[in-house]
Amino acid sequence: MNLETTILFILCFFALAGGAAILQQLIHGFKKTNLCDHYVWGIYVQGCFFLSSLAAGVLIILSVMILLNIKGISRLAETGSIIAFSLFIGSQILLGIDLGKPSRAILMLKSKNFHSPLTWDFYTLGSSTVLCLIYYLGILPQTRGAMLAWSLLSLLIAYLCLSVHTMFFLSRAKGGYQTNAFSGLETLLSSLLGGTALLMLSGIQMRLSGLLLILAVLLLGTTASHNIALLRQNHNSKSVLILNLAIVLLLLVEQSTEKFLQAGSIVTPTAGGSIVALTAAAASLVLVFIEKFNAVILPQRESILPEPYNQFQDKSPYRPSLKEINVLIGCFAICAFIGYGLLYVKAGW
Amino acid sequence: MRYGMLIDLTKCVGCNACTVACRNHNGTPSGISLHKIMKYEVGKFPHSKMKFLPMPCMQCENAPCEKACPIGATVKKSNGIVEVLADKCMGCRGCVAACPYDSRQFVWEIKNYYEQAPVTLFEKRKQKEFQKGTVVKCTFCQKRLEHGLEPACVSTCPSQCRIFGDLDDPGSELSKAIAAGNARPFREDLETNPSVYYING
Repeated sequence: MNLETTILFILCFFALAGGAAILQQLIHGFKKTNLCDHYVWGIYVQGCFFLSSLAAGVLIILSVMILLNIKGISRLAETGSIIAFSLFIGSQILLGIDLGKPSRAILMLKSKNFHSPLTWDFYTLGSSTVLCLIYYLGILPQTRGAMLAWSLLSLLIAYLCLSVHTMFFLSRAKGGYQTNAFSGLETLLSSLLGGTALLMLSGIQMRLSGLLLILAVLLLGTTASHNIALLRQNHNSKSVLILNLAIVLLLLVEQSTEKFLQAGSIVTPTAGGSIVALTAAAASLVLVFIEKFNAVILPQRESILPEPYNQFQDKSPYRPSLKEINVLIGCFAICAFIGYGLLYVKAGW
Repeated sequence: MRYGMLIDLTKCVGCNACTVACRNHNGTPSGISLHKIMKYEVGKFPHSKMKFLPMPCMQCENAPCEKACPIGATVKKSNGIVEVLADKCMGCRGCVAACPYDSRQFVWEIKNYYEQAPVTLFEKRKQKEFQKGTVVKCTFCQKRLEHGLEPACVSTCPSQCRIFGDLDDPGSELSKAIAAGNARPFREDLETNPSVYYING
């Protein structure tokens, strides 16, 4: 048995364990979760936003590359579409298990209440998944027109998917700065950062650390300006800022070392990226996860009612239960299995 | 016809009788309260005092919860009451997140009031009206209204601080009281146009 098959079997095992955890959640409901009326959305929705943000980031990068007619990206596009597809599936699983009555989700097709961000979420996630699948299956005609249409549609839908996730707490007066009537720059940048990082970690033979650095610098500027503007409020994201700074520094070190090595002709730069760049990529994924915590959990920490009416309300922080963490990891394992499995199939067993 | 309510906070004593009457009438499982009273303290010791803000659902005309529901399980009836269709609700809790008045609750599980004791006949009957995994809210006691009665919280209030009636009828006691006094809705700035008014006390 070769290494690829062994990895596939290991991922299959974890995916099955994840499936069992999800099934248990569906049967027993929210009994062993730490969700409550104060925190109606927890780590499942955070995970859903995280996965869909990464997937949308990958899809936007691919679409822009195709639109700009960049040559030699067929391998990247193929891998990217598979990664995005598996992440979109994972995000939909997480969204589904977070419902009190998941079987009734089908009613969304009938109701079509487009005032609701959830309706948009349902349609954008679904159509993004279909678009990725179309690319993966290769049923898209290989003409420039067809590719342009696909990339334009993907770009629009992936961007909409991100935008929708900033609207859920709009009606709350103290929703927080991640609550926007239309997608904030921070949400878009973190999604692109995560997507780039994931592409780097997937082992594609293309150097993306420069792009990662640019995105990390832009995100740092945006997050910092938000924090300065809201210095006296609780809606800050110091952890994101610190991590972001660390990523920028890591990538700067990587870039300058690479330049130095190139100048001295000691070694040729590796195509996939150095250990430092890959560390920065992994840290970027952690950053996006924390950013989604700030977008989903943080607005709920604030009491819904203003002062002084909330004086005696419980303001304890949300801590996900072990069961919730199990389900989330299980869902990530399912994503990894689907993604790796499809790459395995594409590579011809 | 648009049902509304006026709560005179100068008369409210914070006895919680309205909350108890609501629980009694609706038979809500333990941990669920369709009506709540927010307690808060004003002033500084020794001149501080407790104040109370009774909070039924505001039955907003421009209801954020209705817009947030992706499957149309939250509907606004012709009488102005915002209702959750329990048989349709998929439990996404989008409406709970959207409500700026914290008026909605999710049925995480159906619990008895006395966990060690067996379920009472009353609980057994009433719990059938609740579905685990759906959202519930105050409906101004719709069933009582159908029988020509006022909501349980209104009829039980010992200090008679509530007036219930038709906001669209200028001749109703409610409309007259709102027109006469300095009644205002809670968090008027949100432009949800609530049907519940308060006289600040």
